[in-house]
Amino acid sequence: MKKKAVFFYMDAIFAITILMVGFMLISSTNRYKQDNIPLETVSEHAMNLLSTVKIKELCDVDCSCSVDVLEDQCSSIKNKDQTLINYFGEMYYREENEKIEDLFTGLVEEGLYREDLYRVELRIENDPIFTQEGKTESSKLISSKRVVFGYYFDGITEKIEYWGPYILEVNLWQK
Amino acid sequence: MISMDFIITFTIYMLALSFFFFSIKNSFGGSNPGLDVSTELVFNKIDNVYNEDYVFLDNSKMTEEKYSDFISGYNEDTAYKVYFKEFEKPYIYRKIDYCIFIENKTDTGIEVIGSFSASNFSTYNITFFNQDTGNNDRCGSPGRYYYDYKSRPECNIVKADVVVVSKPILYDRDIMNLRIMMCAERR
Repeated sequence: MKKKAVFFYMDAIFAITILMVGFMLISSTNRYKQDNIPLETVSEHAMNLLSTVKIKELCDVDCSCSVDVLEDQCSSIKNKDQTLINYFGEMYYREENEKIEDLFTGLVEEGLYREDLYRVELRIENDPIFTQEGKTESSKLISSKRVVFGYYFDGITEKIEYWGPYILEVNLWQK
Repeated sequence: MISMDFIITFTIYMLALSFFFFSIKNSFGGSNPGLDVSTELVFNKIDNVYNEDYVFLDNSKMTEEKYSDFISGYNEDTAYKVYFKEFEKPYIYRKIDYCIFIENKTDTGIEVIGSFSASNFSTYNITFFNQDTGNNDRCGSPGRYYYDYKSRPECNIVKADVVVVSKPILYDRDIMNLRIMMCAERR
């Protein structure tokens, strides 16, 4: 009778071991769940482009620009040796938010991210500058932030104007 | 006569075994994990690995000269082994084709500025429909292609998983998208 009990115990232990291995394998399948990785990547790529590309790389000295909107604004840009997000910061300082909105719209049209898949919002110091619909309904949203600051030479006052620091935030979500 | 102990043990045993095999099936591809590709890793490898002295992407910037060098100067087989081979899952997929290309959005559609392929099929399976000729051009063929917004580069395999990773870049003075398409035939 005792021998029979030992066999049952061994059976139970063996079954528990198999169950544990099964659970471990199930948990290891989580590596395929990459829900937020593509969105994070898209957001990071967009922010990376905005924070590395300078105005002078999009426009030549004669203000011929590859982005149409920038061409309209080019003559009034005071510092062409700054990146796009720094330019946004400068425009925010000069209270010309509509220029930021126009340029951001232009960049989106140029392919900053896939419009058929994502929606975006641009905020500076928590002020919404550019907003697309559907943010509150979306279940997946990624927020990227950068601190921007800089300067430009004001030809009228003949002084260097320092602006910032401002927190620039790009929120990206799936449609 | 079968005892209750035996029935309970047998039931637990069967339950454990089914858990075990179900988990194995899930882990090794039965749950359709798809092509498990890290976008960052792909771009990072393309940027640095092939040749340490040659910076292909320079963060988000690329020049026409660099891209031409990449397309004309690099061996397809070597590029395939260096960039892509580690992403393959031989137990799920038979073969995988890759296509690297740059897309430029225009008013009328998409312009593909050069493409580079890496394949381990005998015939290549990622093609672009060329609006000018009406033919399907193999990815990696010389020249530029144009297609409208509705049509996309196609994978000519019936039982295939397709992944496209992309990154906005500054190509000379224009903002374009560097894309990498992967097309894998399921077992």
